[in-house]
Amino acid sequence: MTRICAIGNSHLAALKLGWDSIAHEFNGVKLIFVGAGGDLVGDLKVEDGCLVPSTASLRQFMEDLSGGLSKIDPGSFDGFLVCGLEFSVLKVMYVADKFRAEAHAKDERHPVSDECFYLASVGCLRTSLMVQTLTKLRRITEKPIAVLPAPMCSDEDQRPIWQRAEANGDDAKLAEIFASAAQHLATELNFRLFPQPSHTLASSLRTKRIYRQGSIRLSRGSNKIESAQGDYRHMNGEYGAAALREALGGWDLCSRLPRAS
Amino acid sequence: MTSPYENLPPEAFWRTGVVGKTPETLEGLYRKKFSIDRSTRIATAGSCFALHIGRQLRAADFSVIDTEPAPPGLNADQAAQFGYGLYSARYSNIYTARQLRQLAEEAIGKFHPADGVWQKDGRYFDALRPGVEPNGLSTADGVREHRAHHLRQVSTVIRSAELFVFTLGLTEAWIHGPSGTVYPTAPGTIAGSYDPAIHLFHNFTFLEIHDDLLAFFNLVKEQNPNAKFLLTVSPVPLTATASGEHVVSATTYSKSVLRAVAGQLSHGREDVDYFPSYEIVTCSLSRGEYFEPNLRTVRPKGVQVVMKIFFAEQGIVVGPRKEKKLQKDEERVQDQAVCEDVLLDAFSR
Repeated sequence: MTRICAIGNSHLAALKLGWDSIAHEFNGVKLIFVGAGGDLVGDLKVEDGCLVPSTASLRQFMEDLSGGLSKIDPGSFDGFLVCGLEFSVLKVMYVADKFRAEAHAKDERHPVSDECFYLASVGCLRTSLMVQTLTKLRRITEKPIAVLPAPMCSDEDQRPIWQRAEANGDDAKLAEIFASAAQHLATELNFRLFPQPSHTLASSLRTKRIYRQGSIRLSRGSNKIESAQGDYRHMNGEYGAAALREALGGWDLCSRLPRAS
Repeated sequence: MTSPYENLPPEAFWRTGVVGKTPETLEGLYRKKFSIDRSTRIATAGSCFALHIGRQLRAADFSVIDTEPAPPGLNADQAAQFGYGLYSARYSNIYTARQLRQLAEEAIGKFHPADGVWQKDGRYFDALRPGVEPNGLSTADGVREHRAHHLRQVSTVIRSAELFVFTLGLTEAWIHGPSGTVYPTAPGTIAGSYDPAIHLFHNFTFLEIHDDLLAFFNLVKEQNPNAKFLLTVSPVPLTATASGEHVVSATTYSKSVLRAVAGQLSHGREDVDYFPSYEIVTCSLSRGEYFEPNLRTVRPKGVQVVMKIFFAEQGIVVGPRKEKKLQKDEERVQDQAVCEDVLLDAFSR
């Protein structure tokens, strides 16, 4: 049995639900979910070769969600699958809010070179909880790590940040920058990046709205699964299944295992 | 009175004003002409040494104007490499008074540079600030478009600064002969290529520098009548000279002219002050201790003493914790990366 520790924040809920529906396809794989909503995963610290919660609340959520795990001992797992944790195209959109690269639409934003924009995007992704967590994880293990970025927001999201990028034709370019910047960090931190499955995308920066119907999330600061109908960032179990199927199916660690049809 | 020197204060005499003292304990070296406080909107520009002044003012919580902030995500070193966080706009180092005047005139549409785009390895650079994009841009049009945006920010700086701090660095410059456009660095150093038929060496004279600064002051005053100016002279010697003289003589000439112009202007105008950072670092009292072993780079300690004297005269209290931070900031920063003239070292045999 290949034991994989799935670490994440609110987005872990969709994966958990998705896994429940596709686990039978991956007979030799066992996923153990560890995490909590919001930024609580940031409270993990390295201690005696393990990742341990530094706060009582995180410890409680970890134990509840994982079925008793109070620490992440790399010796107990064959690999790690880390999802969400602010590793998202939103970090690039944050740069694009006031700056534009050479290829982007010309408007009132500060113009910078493609190189500068790219470095800024990498830098913003570097501030994510994902990179902080992976950095800690890499201090204690060389085992395989797969990363699933947070999903693109649903195409129902009408905020100007998306509308501008789509109206001026920058959306595909921004998605490309995100992909390159994420891969840059994948090389640096030695993890395997699994981008969002293309069939779940409505456009370069948006997820099809069907994946938001009945969407769920781990509530902030807890491990309770709650409805995410009020936001456009969290997806449903169907999305989780699609993302996991693509990741586990393409990951060396799991793809060699016999797979049920 | 038997002598006009009879009732002069101690600092008027070398024996009582200097002997036995350190630069930090000199009294009356700087007497401010006007006061500033942390709410004064300050613009900074100049040669490499101006970087220290700007950084220290920002670190001490002064309101230093920054019209072109760095994109989020860049660390401090990356930001500096792209010309961010150095000055009040992304103009990089301004070594000569002509360059300063030219920039201000360009910002209000009175000047149009010739040969403003340089090439290197298929990339395009802004000839008037070639260091701000270390690997250039992909098109010449991109350079022009970025420059137009930059000039709008410069215009904002001119209109909004209450105090303009300018550090005079060099008298020597390279000029596009046919148009008179002055460059911050010799063509071919960062990008572009040197053509002796077009690119001419020029060593600015006292009168030229004096007139350039006056023109700059007047131009700023037209937009911003209440603006004041603080001049300093960089104590950093020349990296290289194209004057034909020894670099030591060329440095002495250059700094002497700049110091004389700064003195002339501050004596003659109520709205111009001179701060003696040059004297503090280079005077014999300092015994060369404020220079690194290369005798060129100013040590963090030197910068600290300079700013301490400035803050003290301005009545600005910098707490011990902040002072420690200023020192750390100074030690951390590698100014070499943003000093284009240091690149000239690469051409020394």
